[in-house]
Amino acid sequence: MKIEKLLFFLLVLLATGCTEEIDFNQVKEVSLTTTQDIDLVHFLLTQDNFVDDGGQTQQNGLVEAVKLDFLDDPFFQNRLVRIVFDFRMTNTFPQSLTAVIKFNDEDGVTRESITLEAAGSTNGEAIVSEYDVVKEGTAISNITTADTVLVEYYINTNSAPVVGSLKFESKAAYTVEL
Amino acid sequence: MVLLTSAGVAAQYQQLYDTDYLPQSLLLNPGNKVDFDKHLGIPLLSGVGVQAATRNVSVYDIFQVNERDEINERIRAKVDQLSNRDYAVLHQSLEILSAGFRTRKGNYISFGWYEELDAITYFPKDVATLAYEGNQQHLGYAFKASDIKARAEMVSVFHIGMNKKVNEHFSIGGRFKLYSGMFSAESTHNSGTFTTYLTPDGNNYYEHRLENINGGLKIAGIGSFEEVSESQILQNSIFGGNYGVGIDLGFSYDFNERWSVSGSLLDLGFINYRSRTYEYYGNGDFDFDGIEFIFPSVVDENTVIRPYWTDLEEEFDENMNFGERADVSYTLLRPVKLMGGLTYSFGEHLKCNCLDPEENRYRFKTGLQAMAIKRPGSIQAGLTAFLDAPVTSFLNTKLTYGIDSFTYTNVGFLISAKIRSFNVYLAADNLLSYSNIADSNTASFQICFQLISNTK
Repeated sequence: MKIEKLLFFLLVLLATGCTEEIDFNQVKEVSLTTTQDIDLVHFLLTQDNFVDDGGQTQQNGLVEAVKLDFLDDPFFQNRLVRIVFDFRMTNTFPQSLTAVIKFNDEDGVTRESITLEAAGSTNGEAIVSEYDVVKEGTAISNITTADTVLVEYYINTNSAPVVGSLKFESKAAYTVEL
Repeated sequence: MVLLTSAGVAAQYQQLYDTDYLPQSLLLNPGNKVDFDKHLGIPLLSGVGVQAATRNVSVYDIFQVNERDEINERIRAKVDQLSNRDYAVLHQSLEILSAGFRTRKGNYISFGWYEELDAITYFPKDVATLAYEGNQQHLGYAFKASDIKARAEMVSVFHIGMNKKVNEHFSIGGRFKLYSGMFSAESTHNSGTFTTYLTPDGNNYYEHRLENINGGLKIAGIGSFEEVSESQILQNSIFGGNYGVGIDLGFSYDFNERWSVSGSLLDLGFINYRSRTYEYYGNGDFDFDGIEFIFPSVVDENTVIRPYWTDLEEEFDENMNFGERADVSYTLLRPVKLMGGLTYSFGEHLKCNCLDPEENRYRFKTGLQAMAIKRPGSIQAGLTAFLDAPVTSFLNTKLTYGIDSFTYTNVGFLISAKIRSFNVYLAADNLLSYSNIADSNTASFQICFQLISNTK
């Protein structure tokens, strides 16, 4: 091929350069859904939380609270679409225990709650109770209007002595749309 | 605007390299043979170039129109495919002033002023994976902050160079450059990891660990991001306060009438940034396994509710140091470039419209050219075969075929016309992608108008 023809070919190629259909407006549709799994609270309860030194039951219920400022942050209020809570309770008490997890707003009104049951141990061996709790839709709105999480624990006393421990573990998978 | 990658950068350099009939070849090799006695660029038009490239992804990959999938699926597929060695490059240059002349001793002095933007960002694979797939699917995996690597610099360059013909076979040259940093953003020295460990025997499900975190973003020329001003960036082209120096070195040597070799080292220099600088930084270590509730014991009279969240924030702040500060000083090396070429001349003898019409020239030149650029995360290299030939006494062409990290089929060309003293040239690459330019990984375009003349 002579150089003149080659040059002509290149010029034609340049002049006829084109592109298949693309649409930059699709950028408006771009979204990212991300889920991050984060530990929540953990604790260990023993008989010392319920009985005195003489073994007498002093209280059946406990409550502890944590203020989670990020929950009512506009970012979460606008972007959080789903939470999957995981709870694991390892119980050696012969009694079952009931946990109530409350999401309260700044006025102390409970907007959402979760009730869990830790089965009692019959022979002192650890009994593991696990729960997955999914919150979506209005439940998410309720949670993001709360700013405080309360964990209430009740030991369901029976004739057996209150001796043992309960290990509580929790995490949450937050799904956020960006 | 044409999009290019560093492959495009490589290809475009190769199109102008060793073109002894164009003054711009002296910017790529100050020791190149010079086939003219003086030149004068048309201000702002003597070198307009833009190049962009993306490795392993194209505009079409993301923005194509089809009914099979939607854009988020395509992005997700690319996130899976790309690695932290993939990157995108944008390079733009504009010659503001350009001139040169031959001295009585026969040396060629060239000088000028050009503006250059060079930006590169590596694909932050670990960050993207964490964002798209979450940490639950990668328990025990250390997500690396070092995957965050990006740099952009816009500089104004004043330069003067000299080309000396040592003898009939050997030419050498050097160029001194004074850089004025117009804008800089740099985040290339990030380190540390984020890991979520499964802890069956621990306090909670997981342990989240930030380890040896150290990194940040430095910017210069504009102050903080809240203060970005285009006019300020333009003002920085002359007296911005961010200055640096550098040199180019090069040579060319003719083994005989047919064979020659050349090489150059460009932008061996640095810029010290100290004006309108700002830094965002973070460092430290932090472990987290959730908030531990301490329920009051019945024998514990202290019933005060602990401020768990506040305690956690304070613990985080004690261990992780995040902040921002103004008036930092830092120095960046210029992206040094190494180039070389081996040329073989053949074909009919030519009566050329060149500096020495008596010179024994062959019509065609072919050979190989190699180039490498030092980048923050790697060396970007390319190899190009070329054929250079005049079509007529006033029309030169150069056809190139390059391989690099972006494509193995980069066909480019240069066409240069010279009518009397007026010269215009046009260069473009990756011609094989012209059937669907958006699907190209690399493309470049350059145009120039200037005056070139010989005294003979």
